[in-house]
Amino acid sequence: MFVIGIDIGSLATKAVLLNGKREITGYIVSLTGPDSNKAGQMAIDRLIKDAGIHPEQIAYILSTGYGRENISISNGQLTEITCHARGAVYIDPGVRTVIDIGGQDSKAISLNDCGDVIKFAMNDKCAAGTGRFLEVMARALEIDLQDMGELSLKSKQRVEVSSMCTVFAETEVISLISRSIDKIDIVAAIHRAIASRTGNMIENVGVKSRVMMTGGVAKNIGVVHALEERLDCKISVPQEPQIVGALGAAMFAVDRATDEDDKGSIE
Amino acid sequence: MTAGSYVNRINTTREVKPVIAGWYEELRTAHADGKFLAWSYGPVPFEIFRAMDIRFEHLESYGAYLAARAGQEKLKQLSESDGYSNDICSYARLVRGVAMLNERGDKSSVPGVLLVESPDFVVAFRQCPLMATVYDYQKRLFNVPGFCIDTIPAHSEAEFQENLLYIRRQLEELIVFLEDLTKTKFDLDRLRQIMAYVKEAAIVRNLVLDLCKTSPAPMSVFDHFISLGPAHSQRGKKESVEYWKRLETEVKQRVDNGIGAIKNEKFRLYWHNLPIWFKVGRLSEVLARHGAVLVAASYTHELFYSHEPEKIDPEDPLTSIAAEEAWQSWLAADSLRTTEQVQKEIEDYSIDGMIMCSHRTCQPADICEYDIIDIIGRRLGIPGIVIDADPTDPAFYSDAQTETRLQAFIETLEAHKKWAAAS
Repeated sequence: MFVIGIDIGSLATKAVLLNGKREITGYIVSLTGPDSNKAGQMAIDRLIKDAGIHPEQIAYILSTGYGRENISISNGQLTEITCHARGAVYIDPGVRTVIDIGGQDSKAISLNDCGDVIKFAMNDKCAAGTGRFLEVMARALEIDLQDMGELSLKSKQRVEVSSMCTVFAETEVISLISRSIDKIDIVAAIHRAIASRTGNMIENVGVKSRVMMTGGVAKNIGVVHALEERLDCKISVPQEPQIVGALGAAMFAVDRATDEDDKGSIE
Repeated sequence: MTAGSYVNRINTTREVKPVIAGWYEELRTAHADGKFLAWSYGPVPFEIFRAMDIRFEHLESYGAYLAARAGQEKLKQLSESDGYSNDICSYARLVRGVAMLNERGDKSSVPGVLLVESPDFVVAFRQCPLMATVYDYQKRLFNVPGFCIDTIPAHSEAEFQENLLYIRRQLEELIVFLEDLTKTKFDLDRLRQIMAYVKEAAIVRNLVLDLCKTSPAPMSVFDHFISLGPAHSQRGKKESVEYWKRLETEVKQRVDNGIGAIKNEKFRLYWHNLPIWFKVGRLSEVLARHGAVLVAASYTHELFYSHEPEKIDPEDPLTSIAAEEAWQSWLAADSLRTTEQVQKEIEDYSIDGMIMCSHRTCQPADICEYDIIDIIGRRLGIPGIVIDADPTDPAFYSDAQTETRLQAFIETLEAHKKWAAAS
C-alpha cells in the first residue's frame, strides 16, 4: 500500500510518496503555475512513474496548501498548518516550534508535547518577508536567488533596509545600490528585515525549543541565521525543507487509509 | 437545507430582505412624503427620531446594506477620488460615495443600490472618533444643522452611572434641538409606547438567544446578523416584537425536534467584533462544512438592548435609552469589561473556540483581541484565532487566507478534543 501527500503552494507543488511503513519512497518539487489542479496531477503522475508503481496501489491522496481544494483526485484535505506540524514532528519528535516561510506566506506554529498544534500565526495579506519578496530583491540586485544565503554570510558592513513593503523595499535597495553599498551587505540587510518582521509573528505564538524551519526560504542560510539572531535560539533545517508539509499530509493519508488514530507504524 | 449546503437557514430570516428594501425606500422618498430625514452615526437614539416621525439613515447599517451590493465598488471609488484614503472607515467611504452622487444629482449611475436622500440634519454619538469627524464633515458638506452626543469612556460602574446621567441630559437637549428644527412638539407618551415595544422585543430576542445554548444550536450567529435588519429598522415598532416572536416559535420548534443550524455540529464558536457583511453567506458555509457553528457573538449578544432588557422602564424612556448608550460606551472603552462579557458568553454557550475579527478600517473596535485570547485562554483553556478583514471593504479581505486560518483553527480544536478524550 502507498499513499501520497501533496502540498500545492502558490509557487511550488510538493508531493511525497510513503509506503505502508511510513517510509519515504519518493518525492517531487515542481512549479505550480497557473493551473494548480494540473500541477498536482502532473506531480502525482510523475511520482508514481518514478517509483515504478501502479496508480491502483495508491490507497489515499491527501492534499494541503492553498491549492488543496482545487485538486480533483484528492481524497481529503487538511491545512498546511496541521501538515507542516505533523511533518516536522515526524522528522524530529522534539520539535516544539515550526517556522514555515513559503512562496507567499509565512507561519509560526507552536506544538505541545504530543506534537499537536496548540497555537499558530500567519502573515497578513502582504507577501513581504516571503519567498516572493526575496525573488523581487534578488532581481533588483541582479543576483541568483540561490546565492543570497551564502553571500549574506560574508557581509562586513551593517546597513539597514527598513521598509518591509515589497515595492518600497525594492526602491530602498535600488537606492543603496546607487550609493555603491556592497550587494553582500544589502542582502544581509534584507535577511535581517525578514527576520525582524517574521520574528514578531513567531514570538506571538511563543518560541519553544526545539525550533525547526521549513518551506523554501529555509534553504536560504542567511535568513535562517538572521532568525536565529533575532529569536536568540538555534534553528534546525531538515534536509529537504520544502517537502515537510507534503510529508505531514502523507502521514495523515496513512492514518486515513488505515483508519487508525495512533499515528504509529503500520504493516 | 438547499442541495449541497451544510447550513440549515432559519426560515423567518427570509422576511428580512423586503423589510430592509421597504426601509430604504422610505428613506429615498422621505422628502416627497413630507418627512424630515436625519443621517446618523454611531449608537444614536433612534427611538427619539421615531417618536417625532423623523426618518433616519444610520451610517453603519446603511454601510452594511451597501457592502452586500455590487455597486459598492463604485461608491468607494467616488469617495477615494474625493480624497478619502482607503484607510478611512469603509462605512464612511461608502456613504460619502452616496453623498457625492446626491450632490451631483446622479441617482441612477450605481445599479442595485438604493440611494437615500440628502439629510435635513445630522446626529452623531461620539463613541468613535472617526464617526465624529465624519459627522462634522457631513454637516459642513450639506450645510445642515447637527447634534453630537458626547460620551465618557467608562471603566467602572461609577463611571458608567456618571456617563448615563451625562448622556441623559444631552438627550433632553437633543429633543429641544429636534423640536426647534421640526417645529413639532415632542410627544413623551409616544416615546413611552416605543420603549415598551423596544423592551418587549429585546426580551423575546434574548429568549431566542437563550435557546441557542442547546446543542445542536438551532440558530447560528449568521441568522442573528441577518435579523439585525429588523432589530434596527423596526426598533420600537410592534412589527419588531412580532418578528422576534415568529423567530422564537421557529427556533423553539427546532430545539424540540433536535434540528441544528448546521448539518453536523462538532464545534461551537464565538465571534468577536463586527460581521464581515459581504461574506456572511460564504463564511457560514465554510464553517458549517467543517462542523463549526457560531453560537454567540459580541455584536449580537451584547448590543441592541440585549443587556438586561427587563430593566428598561418605558415610563422613564430617556434613562433607558441613555443606559443602553452608556453600556455600549463602556464595552467599547474597557477591554477588561469586554473580556468579562466574552467569558460569560463562552461559559453560557459552551463555546469551544473564539474567532476574533480584526477590521482594518475600524481600529477603535480592534485593540484588544490578542489580550482577550490570552486572558480567556489562561482562565478557561479556550483558544482563539484572529482573522484580518473589514466590515465592508473586500480590498482588505482574502478568501484563501481567511478560510485557511479558520480551517486550521478547527483542526486545532479537533486535536484539543482528542487529547481531552484521551485523558
